[in-house]
Amino acid sequence: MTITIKDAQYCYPSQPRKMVLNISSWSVAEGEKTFLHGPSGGGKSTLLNVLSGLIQTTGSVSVFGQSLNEMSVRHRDKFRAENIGFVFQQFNLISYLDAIDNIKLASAFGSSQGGETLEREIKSLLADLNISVDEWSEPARNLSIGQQQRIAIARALINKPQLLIADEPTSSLDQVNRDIFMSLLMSIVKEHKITLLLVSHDMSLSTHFNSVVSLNEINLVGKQS
Amino acid sequence: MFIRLAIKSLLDRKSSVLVSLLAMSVSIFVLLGVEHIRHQTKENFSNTVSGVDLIVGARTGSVNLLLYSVFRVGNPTNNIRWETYEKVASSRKVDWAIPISLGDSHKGYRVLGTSTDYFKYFSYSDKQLLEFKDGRAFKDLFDVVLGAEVARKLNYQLGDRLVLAHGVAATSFSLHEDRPFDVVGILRPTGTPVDQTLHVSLAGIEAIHIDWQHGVRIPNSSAPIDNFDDIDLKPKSITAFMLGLKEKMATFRVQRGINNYKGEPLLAILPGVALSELWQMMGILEKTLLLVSALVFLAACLGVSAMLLASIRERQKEIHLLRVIGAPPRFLFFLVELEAFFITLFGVILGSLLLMGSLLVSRDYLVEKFGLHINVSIFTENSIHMILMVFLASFIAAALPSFVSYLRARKGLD
Repeated sequence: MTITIKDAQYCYPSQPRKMVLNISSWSVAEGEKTFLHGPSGGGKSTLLNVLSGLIQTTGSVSVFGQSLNEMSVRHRDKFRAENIGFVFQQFNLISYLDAIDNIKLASAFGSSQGGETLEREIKSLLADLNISVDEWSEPARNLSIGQQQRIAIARALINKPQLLIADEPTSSLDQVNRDIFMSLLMSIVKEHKITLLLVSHDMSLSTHFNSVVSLNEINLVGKQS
Repeated sequence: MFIRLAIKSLLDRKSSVLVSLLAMSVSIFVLLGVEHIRHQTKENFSNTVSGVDLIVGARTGSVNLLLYSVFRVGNPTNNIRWETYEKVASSRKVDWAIPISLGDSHKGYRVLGTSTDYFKYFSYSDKQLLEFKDGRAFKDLFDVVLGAEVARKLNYQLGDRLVLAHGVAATSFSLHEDRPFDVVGILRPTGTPVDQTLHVSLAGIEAIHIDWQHGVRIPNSSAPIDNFDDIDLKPKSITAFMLGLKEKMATFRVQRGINNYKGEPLLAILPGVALSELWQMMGILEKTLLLVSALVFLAACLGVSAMLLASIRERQKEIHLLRVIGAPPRFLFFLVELEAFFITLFGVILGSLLLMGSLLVSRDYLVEKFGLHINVSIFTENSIHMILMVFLASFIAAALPSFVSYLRARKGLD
């Protein structure tokens, strides 16, 4: 299993009485493409932060068989950098860095080799994602949302992760760009045999996935409400 | 990559960073400037006189005597009779004596009447004797030897003629026009007030004042004298004199003897002791200046700290993104510290360049006005220590925003 969650509960420290996540059992198989949907404020982003090890729950959360709760902060950061790629709706990139530097930065936290090999790898990734050479050295803020999303995919792939988490990646895109983005994402996931977990409230995207999960089904907080 | 990230992050916030950088540069300019000028002034003063055991003048404060006799700053309260000088100089404990007569000037530069022993015994820095760049010591009555700065600034060469003025004002209307002096020697630079002095014989000083009284020429005085051979040009009084003793052990005894001299009220000082007194007097001023410059620097540090703290609030999403791609909280701590380091580094570079530029521009003014030779190169052991302290202080000042950034990274997205 890529993801296994058991008896995970989470409350924000500022509101210790208000539980936002309560999952008794949930898992995602290796190589699976999972579409997770749910209403706004239903705890989707919180779940993704739990899976990336940025916040900790009670119970047990394992990714690739390794319990995140048992790792030190340093170990979790390293594990995340090396094994999980992220694509967000926006603020995917450091706005003042160009595409190459944004990707280099992500590789610096993983175990990728630096130097010319890395530079070649980055350029090949950017070319594969149809990002023109002129845009490689442009600060991210000067690029369109669509271009930023594609660079974010390149950034997410640089450390060759086995799990890709995408949080509402198409929300800022128009329909044409959304379709281009989804087909690109699916082809990459297939090519690199990556487990994909995509969170969105846009149900039309669910057709690309072999597993569709409603957060309300797995999060007992949603069921109670 | 991390250095690149810090620099690009700073460049992304150009306006606020620029203001912090300017504040830091100005504070470092003030801090290093005060320290450098303080250090150079002390070194200048300490190097001005060397190997002189006692300086003797009319009774006054020891610092005042030191200032007017050695540094040509201020004026004597009274003169010493020539007989007194001769009596002290002929003592068997005295190895050599240099008489000093001040009171005239040339285009703002002081004229020093003395004997040829001045060129033989007077030393500066580490017992370094005066050397001639061109020419020789004065021999004839109206010979003059120029300090290096006088020759350079006024563009004098051997053989040139110049006229001395009565008094020490930069512009004088009482000129000794009828008795011009010939430049016979130019000294090598010493970095001391010697460079701004014109040296003539005591007899020369007497000669130009023959028909003068109380600073003005006596009206209807006798026709100009062409031949001084028959005139007694032995001075009646001098301003002060310097003594070198045969035995250093006898210094205090000779000093006591001179201070208790019955013939006229005298004061004998040890140059080193008088310098220490001067430093003691200057101590409070020095400390105040250092304190003010340290406070200016502290304010700049707090400014940088506040700017970084505000930037962390603005960069919440950036911190989140860095955390998501695997940046550990300590990375965020050091990223903010690195930004503070770069502001300090560029502040030090800019402040130092500003200081060196200002010293270069004001060098001639400082020499002319205060006789201070301030080296343009500001990097001494002292200033390097100070720069290291500046970096340490900026590290401490940046610790608060760095720690806030660390905590936010550690707390996750709550």
